[in-house]
Amino acid sequence: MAERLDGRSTLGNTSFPSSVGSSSGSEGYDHLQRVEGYDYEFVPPPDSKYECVICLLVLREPQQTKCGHRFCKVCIIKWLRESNKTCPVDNAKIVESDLFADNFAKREIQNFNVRCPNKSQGCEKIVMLNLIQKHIEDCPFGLIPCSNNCSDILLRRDLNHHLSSVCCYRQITCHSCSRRLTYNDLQKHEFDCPEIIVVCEKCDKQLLRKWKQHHENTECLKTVVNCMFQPLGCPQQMERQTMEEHMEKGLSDHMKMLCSEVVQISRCLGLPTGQNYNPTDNGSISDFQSLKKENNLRDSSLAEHGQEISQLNDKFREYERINRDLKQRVKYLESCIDERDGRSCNGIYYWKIKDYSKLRREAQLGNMPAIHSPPFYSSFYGYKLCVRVNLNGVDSAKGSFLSIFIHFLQGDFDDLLDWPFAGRIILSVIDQNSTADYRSHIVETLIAKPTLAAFQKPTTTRNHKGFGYMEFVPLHVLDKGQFLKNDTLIIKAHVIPNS
Amino acid sequence: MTNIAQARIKREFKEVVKSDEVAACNITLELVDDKYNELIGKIAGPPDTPYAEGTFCLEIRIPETYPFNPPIVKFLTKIWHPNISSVTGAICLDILKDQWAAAMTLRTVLLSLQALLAAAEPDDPQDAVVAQQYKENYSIFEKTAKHWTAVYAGGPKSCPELDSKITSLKNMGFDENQARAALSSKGWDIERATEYLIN
Repeated sequence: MAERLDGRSTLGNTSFPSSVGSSSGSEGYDHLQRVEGYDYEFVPPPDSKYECVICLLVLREPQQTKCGHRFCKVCIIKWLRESNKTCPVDNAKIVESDLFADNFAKREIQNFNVRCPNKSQGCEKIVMLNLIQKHIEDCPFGLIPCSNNCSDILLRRDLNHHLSSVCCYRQITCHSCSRRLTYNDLQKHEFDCPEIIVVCEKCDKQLLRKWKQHHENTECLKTVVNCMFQPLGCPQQMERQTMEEHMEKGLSDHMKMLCSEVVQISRCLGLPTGQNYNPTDNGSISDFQSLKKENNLRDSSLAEHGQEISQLNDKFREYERINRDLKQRVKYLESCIDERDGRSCNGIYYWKIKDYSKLRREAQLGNMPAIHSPPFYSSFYGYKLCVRVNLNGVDSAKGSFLSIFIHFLQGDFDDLLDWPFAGRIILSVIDQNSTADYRSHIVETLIAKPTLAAFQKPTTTRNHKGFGYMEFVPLHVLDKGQFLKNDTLIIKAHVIPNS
Repeated sequence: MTNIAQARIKREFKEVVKSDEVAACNITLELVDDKYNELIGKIAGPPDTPYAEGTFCLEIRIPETYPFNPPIVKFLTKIWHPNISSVTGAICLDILKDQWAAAMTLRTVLLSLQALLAAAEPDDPQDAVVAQQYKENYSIFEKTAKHWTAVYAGGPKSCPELDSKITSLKNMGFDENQARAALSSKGWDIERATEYLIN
C-alpha cells in the first residue's frame, strides 16, 4: 500500500505551497523527504497513542521501536541519526535496524476522519485521511493563485468569476473600437483609442478621436489659423470663423501684396512690366488666342476620330462573331458531307491521304502517330467504321511498316444490326500506276473474330480497340512503287458483312 | 528556523496555553515575536521552598534542530540556587544537555525546572558559592534565597535585617545589586562583603 506524501501541503493550507516547502536542508536528510506527521484536524481527535511525540502530529508511516513506542518514520530516523541512539520516550538503547513498520496503526490512521484544512475559507467537508489529498486538490475553498498570474490569490471556486470579471489581466473588448485587450491596458487605451468620442478643446464639438486632427486642420471655427495670404506676407492670425471678416477688411492690403508678388513673378519670367505693360498691344495675347482656337479645333477633331474608332471596333467585333458562326457551320456541313459519302460508298471506301510526306514526317516525329479516315458505312443503314493508319508503323513495326486498322464507330442504326460484326473486310493499298495492267495493289482480307472487342457494338463514339495489320506493307516498298502519286496515298476498305 | 521546529513549537505553545498548569498559574509561556524561535517562560516558585510565591522568568531559545536538540534556557529573573548561576542565570540540568529526548516539550522543561527549584542538586552545581552555602549553612542559604525571591521574583518580604545591611552598603556608595551579591556570597558579613567589593 503506497502512502501519499501529502504532509507538505497540509502544514498550513491557509498559506501557499511556496511558503510551506522551505527547508534548511543543512542536516543532510533531504533524501528522507522531510515530512512529519499528519497536521490535520482529526474528527474526533485521535487517541494520543496515534501521535508522534517528536512532531506532535498524527503518525505518518508509523514505526515501532522494540521498547514499544511509535513515531513517524522520518522523525525517529532523524532522531536516531542526530542523537545518542536512545528511545525519545524511555531512553532505551535502540538502533535504526530495530525499527519496524507498524502497519496496523497505519491502516487505522488512514481510516480516521479529518476536516478539510480549508475550513476557515468555508469548506465543511470531513473525509477519510486516505481521501483528503484528493479532496484538497479539487476543494472549491482551496486558495490558489490566479492562473493569469495577476498576483491575486483566491478561492478555487471563485477562479472562473475572477478570470471573467475581476482579474486585471482578463481579456475585454473596447466598446468603442472592438479591439481585444487586457483590462489593465484599457485605461491606457482610452487615451489613444481612435474610435472614442472626444471633445474639441476649442469649439466644444464632440467627435471621434480619429477625426479630431482633421477637424482642427480644416473645420474647427475656433482654431487659430494663419491668414491665407500669409505666404504673401500677411502676418495676421485669427480664429477660423473670423477669417471671412478679415478677408473683407484686409482686401486692399491683400491686393497690394498680390500685386507686388505678380510684378515680381513677371520680372522673373522676363515679361514686360511697369507702365509700358499694355496687354491689348501685345502680340503674344493674340498668338495665345489663335493657339487656343486651333487647340479647340484639334480637340473636337480628336473626339470625332475617337468616336469613329469605337464604331469601327464594334463592327469588327460583329464580323468576327459572324465569321466564327460561319466556320462552325462549314465544319458541320463538311461532317454531313463526309457522313453522306461514307453512307453512299456502299461498303467500298477509298481514302485518299493527301500530303503523305508531311504526315509521314509528323508520324516519325511522334506528333501525330496515327490518322483516322472519315467515317463510312458498310451499306446505307449498315455498320459505321473508319480506317486508322500509322504512317510510320506502330509498336514493333515502328519505322519499318505501314500499319492499317479498322475501327467500328457508333452509328445511327447500330440497333438494327447484328453484333458482334461478322464478315470480311478487305484492305488494300492502291497501286496508282497510270497503266492499269501494271497496277498491283497490296490486298489483305481479314475475317472478323466475334470474340474480339474490336467487333463488339461500340459503346463510345469510336471503339478504341481496332483490328488490322501492324505490318501491312514495308515502308520502303511504298516509297519505291507507284503507291504514292502527287504525294497522295490511297487506301481502300471493302466491308462485306455476312448477310 | 526549519519548518519542523517552528511547527512543533506552535503546537506546543497551544498545548501549554490550555494546560492545567497554566490554569493554576504554575507555568506560562509567551511568544517574543511571531517567529516561534524565542519565548519567555514563567514558573511559579514551588510552595514550601524559599522560592514560594515568586515568579521566575526564563529565556527560551529554540534551535533550528529542535526537537532533535534541546531548547536553550536560562533564568532572566535573578535567583539564588545551587544549580543556577546567580550571575548569568545559566542552568545546570541534565535534560537541557545530554539527557534531552525528542519526546520532551517546553511544558515538561518548565515543569522540570520547577521541580529543580524544589529539589536542588548541590553535588552537580552551576554556582559553586551557592552550592557550598547550601551544603554548609542551609539556614543562611534559605534566608538568602527567600530574600532574592522577594527582591527579584516578587515574593513576600522576609527579613528586614538583610535589607538594612544592604542599605548600609548602599550608603557607602555601592550598587544595590552588587551589594546584595557580595553580602549573599559572604554569609551577610558586612566587613567581608565590603572587602570583597573593594577588591
